[in-house]
Amino acid sequence: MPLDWRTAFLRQAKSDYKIYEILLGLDDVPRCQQLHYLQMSTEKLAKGFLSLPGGGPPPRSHNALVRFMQVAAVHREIRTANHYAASHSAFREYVQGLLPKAREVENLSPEGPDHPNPEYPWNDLAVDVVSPLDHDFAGLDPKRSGEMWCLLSFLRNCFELPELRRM
Amino acid sequence: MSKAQVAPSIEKIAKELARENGEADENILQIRWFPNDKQLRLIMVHKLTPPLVEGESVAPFYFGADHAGGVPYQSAIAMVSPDDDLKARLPDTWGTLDDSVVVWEQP
Repeated sequence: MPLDWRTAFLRQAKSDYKIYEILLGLDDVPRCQQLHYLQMSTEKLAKGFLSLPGGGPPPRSHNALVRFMQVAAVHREIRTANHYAASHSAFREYVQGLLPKAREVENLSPEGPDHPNPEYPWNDLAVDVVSPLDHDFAGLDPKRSGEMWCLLSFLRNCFELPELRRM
Repeated sequence: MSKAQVAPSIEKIAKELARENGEADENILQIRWFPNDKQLRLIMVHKLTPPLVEGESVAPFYFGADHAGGVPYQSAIAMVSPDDDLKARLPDTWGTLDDSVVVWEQP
């Protein structure tokens, strides 16, 4: 049976995320390589939900991850998957608190003017050319950032939604 | 689709979700429901939502029916910034703002 766009995006997002978690568990993998998979996974996750089941490709949308998370905060099934079934306000606050970190992940996309990203070298005025291999992306290390750890937990729970679990 | 043709249960759920969310988040200014008998369509005006870029339409996120959560319909939910409210291009087939019903508004 042919895949629809939504399923194709969500399956790929889930697979990217698995690779991210594998790389995260390996000590000798540069953080940029880990984050490259995380950025791709979250972009596809958001785009998958932007695509109507059985419909066409997702529309072009900026800030898709942040928008997805804002909508996720009002969605009962996602709230339950994140173990906040009984506390709507608390879940909204929790998701709201994750948005700055989600923006940082979204900004890992190399699109736009030169900026730190896990994929391509960029020009830094102070030190000239920087390779992603040499940048520490410290704020996106779940071992050092509680918000990052929580964001990953949120994403993992999204991948456990019944629709995604079946994929 | 006219508002009168819509099954009451979807309208009831739309209002219930709107109230639940509007009351839980002071950043939601208004929630509009776009009547449809198969899909629950909501647009929320949220203070912290990034504005659309030029030429971009309102893009809803789609979710399957959530029977356990009391939402037995596919849902389509979008957030817009206050700047985009009233002037953003809506998804095809959603009609116009005149076809929508304000189901929650910040007092």
